[in-house]
Amino acid sequence: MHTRNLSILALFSALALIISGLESALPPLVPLPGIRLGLANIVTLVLLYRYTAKDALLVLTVRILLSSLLFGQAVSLLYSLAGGLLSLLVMNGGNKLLNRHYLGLTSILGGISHNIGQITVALLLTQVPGVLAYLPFLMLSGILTGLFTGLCAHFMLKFLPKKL
Amino acid sequence: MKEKKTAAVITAGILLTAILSILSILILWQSVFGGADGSFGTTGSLGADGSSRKMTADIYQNGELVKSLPLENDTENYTITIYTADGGSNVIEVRGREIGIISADCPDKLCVRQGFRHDSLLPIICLPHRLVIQIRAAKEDLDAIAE
Repeated sequence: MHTRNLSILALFSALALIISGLESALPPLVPLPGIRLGLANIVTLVLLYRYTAKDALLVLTVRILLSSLLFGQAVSLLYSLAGGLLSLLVMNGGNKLLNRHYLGLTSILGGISHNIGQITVALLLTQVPGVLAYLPFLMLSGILTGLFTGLCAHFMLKFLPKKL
Repeated sequence: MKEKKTAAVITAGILLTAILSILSILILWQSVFGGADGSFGTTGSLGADGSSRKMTADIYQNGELVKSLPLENDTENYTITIYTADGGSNVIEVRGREIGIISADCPDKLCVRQGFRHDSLLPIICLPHRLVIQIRAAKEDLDAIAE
């Protein structure tokens, strides 16, 4: 890995970490588990758009590991990891299918799949089928927050220096 | 041009998902406030026929049923504490027909913020502690409906 690439990815990791730190300091929007804005997804989207899926995967893993260590959410590491990896997989597919256009749609797909990954882990861990009752709420929130982070990523790409 | 078609398909899919989600939320709600099947989505408050149903709260940890508490109007409020294997705890309070988590040592406290519930629409969940409180119609009540 070139030094230039390394420093750019480190920069983005730090940015993602700051965003998720700030978000975890905010009170949750709705008192339902798993419903968050997922602002750190902006960084993943930008990386997918500008760089490669491998870079996005690296930054995502570093961000999830560090944020669960730093912000006292080590217990929810499994949920974040499942949701994050599944959404990256789906967003990468969507991004390729859409030829790097319509970032909002890719982001919505990511939001939905993130929540599906999370509820799957929750179902496996708790083994109570009643947990599935949260699915429609999580899907809806995935669509809305995905749209929001997609718009944020769109504007971030607009103002990000071309050289970076 | 090819991606335009794909985008249209994906948008349609997303819209369909949204509509399905809203529909199922409405159906869940309906089964709470208008349902009479007694098994899923029933509420502990007065039913449509004016009678009240007996409800039970099942507390699951790691997928195993640890406690079943009856939710009745005339019992005094009480609390129980459920410990996890690694020392975490959730303090659960029963207030007549309602049950809720009043304190916990998980990081996000989402279980406490979920408040008190008296219907089986959504279980109360503490994901870090793998704790689920699911309310259901009590067994004998189901039998009574069946007969």
